[in-house]
Amino acid sequence: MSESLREIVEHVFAEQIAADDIELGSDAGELHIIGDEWTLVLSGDPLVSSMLAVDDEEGDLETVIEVIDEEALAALRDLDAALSGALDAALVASPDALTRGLARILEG
Amino acid sequence: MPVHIVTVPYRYDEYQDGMGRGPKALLRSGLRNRLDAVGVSTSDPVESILKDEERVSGPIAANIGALGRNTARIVAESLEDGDPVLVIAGDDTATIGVISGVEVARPGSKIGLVWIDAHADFNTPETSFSGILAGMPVAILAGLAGPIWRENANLAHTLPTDHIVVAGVRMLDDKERTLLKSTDVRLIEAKSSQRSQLFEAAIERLASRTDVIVVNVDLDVLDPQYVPSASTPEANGLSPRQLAWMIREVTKHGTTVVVCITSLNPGGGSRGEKSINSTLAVLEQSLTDWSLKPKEPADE
Repeated sequence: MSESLREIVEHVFAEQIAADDIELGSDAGELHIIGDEWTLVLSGDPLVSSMLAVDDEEGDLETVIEVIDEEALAALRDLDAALSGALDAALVASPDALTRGLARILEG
Repeated sequence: MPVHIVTVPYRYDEYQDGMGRGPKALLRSGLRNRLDAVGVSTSDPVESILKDEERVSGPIAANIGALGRNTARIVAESLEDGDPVLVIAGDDTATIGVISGVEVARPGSKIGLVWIDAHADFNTPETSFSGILAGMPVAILAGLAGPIWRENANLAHTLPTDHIVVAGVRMLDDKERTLLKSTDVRLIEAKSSQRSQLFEAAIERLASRTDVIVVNVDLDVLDPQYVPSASTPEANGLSPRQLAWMIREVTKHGTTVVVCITSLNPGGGSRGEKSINSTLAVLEQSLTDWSLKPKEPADE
């Protein structure tokens, strides 16, 4: 049986979750990956869409680079690979510019 | 409009060897159901086989050519009813036969080739550092090497180099680069910051000067994080979304008769599974709107 989205996220972020750097939450069928100053919302399983929110409501791409640390970015890249590119596709398809910006950051 | 599936389950001329197991692995992992779910109906796969009695003595390339002759026949038959063909091959040496089949199915047509690969595969025996045959198909199609290979595959014409686009390249041998630069092949390297725009422009140009197009995808064009079992990995590759976009950029012109997917290594346990899943994701995202414009009637 294939893993659920939550199981995959838990596996990829295991170290950060254990260190309390990342929390997972859920709301109305959405999975939330919650960092110190950012939240990535994953909708659908298989993943259909995604939305990034940063605590600084005026935040731009620079803010994203500041608040999501390298370890979290590496884990997000691992998550995308585990999802066969579905995270990248969801981020790019987002109507939100900040979310699309995260896709560019993950591309490196 | 259904898509015909043709498989070439060979690594060179070895049946079901290494990457030769890729086509079956992809089908067993539900390729047809996954495509059906996104509105792409497919026909029962037809396998290209090289029988023992068809084998010839001589270099491996001679037998790859002989296998290519069978692939050509199946591709040509599949194209007869005007529907496109998805070829899933163990490695990209199969593409010589694919082009040969298109030549038969579309006599007199100007054939364009879009080669999406981490490597340009433009080596000849003279330029190749490794001598690997899989690094030569584009040069062979361009007529710079491999006459026996082409002859055994029944390929009558070589491709003019201005009918070839090579994209996604991250690794080029020095002599290979020199040879490429001496031709009209349009090369788009992955490191180019303008690669999307360059690719769009190259495909527009290719579509304007050819009648039909064949797309060949070596899956090592994807970043190794998506295809961790790739046998020739190169860092800084594409994501499945980016590769799917490139395929759609070609197929949107309505002249892409064949998309050929090669070099899936299904081995390596979870690494192979990840590679299979990434391949499925690419095909799901890229083939949904694939159709062919009706053939124009031949001149009287």
